[in-house]
Amino acid sequence: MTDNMTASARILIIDDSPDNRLLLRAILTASGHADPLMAESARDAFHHLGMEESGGPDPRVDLILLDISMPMLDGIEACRLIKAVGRLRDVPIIMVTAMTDPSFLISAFDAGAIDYITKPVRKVELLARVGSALMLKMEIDRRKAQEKTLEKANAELRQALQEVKVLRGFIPICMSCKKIRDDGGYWQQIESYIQKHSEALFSHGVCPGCYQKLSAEYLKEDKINNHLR
Amino acid sequence: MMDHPDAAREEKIRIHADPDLADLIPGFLGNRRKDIVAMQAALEGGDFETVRVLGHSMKGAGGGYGFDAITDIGAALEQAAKGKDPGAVSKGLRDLSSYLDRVEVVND
Repeated sequence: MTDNMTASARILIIDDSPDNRLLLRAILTASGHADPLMAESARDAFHHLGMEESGGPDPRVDLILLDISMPMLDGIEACRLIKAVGRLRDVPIIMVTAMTDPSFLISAFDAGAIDYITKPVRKVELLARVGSALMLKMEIDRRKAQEKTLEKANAELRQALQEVKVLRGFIPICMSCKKIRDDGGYWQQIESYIQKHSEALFSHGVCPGCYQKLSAEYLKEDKINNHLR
Repeated sequence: MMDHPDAAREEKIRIHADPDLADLIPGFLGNRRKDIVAMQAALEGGDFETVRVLGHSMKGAGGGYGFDAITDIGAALEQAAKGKDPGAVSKGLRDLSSYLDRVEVVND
């Protein structure tokens, strides 16, 4: 039986023989895999994979089982065309073939297939190879997700660094009142400017020098007021 | 043995079906009967390509369903068609017909 992860994987079977399609489907579903997609030709498969309509749906397929000998477009050429689509490049393709000539297999690997199963298909072999290919696909997906997370974190870090640089660069400041001119040309209090461009917070107080100065000014003002009264 | 009609009537071949495939087997064997008709017509019309394709398909599917003999007969038909050998194709069709007459599927 398959584990939960591989059981939900989407498999596409491409084979012109209805007997072979039904056989593969029966073996896969009996072992716990989800009901696979089935295509009777390469063109039919391209439709399932959303390769015909640009900007069309992007159906999720985790593994392709591809017959080599098919009329019109054979499996090797179909494999080459599927692998040429960027979003499908990491979808593993297993060739399923009754061809015994090694030159067909060499061509299949050259076209991008990762493995092959010979016909007539043996249940144990099919399930083992499908299981391995799905594990590989899951590992690829996991790494891609990890890469995406790292890229996002990297972008956030770059953005943060850019903001820190603003405080490190030239900042226009009034030499008298110490207000700072922002990017919009407005003069801001130095503490609100720094708060906006950094993680720093301010708590307000009065230093001894300013206290003396302010006290003197207050007393002077008080005297004048008393005198006027 | 398979060429002899009396022997064909006598010898039954018992095949134990894989339970996962039991529902598909009657359809699979029925399709081989249709193949015989199609290949016979193709042979009469000198269309060896159709015989080759159907033989190749039988070769690929037979053993998967548990019928190794169908794989062997399919391979022989494919080879006969590649060699454009009407006698060998006729023999392959007789072998297939005889096999289908004698095979008995046992569902355990």
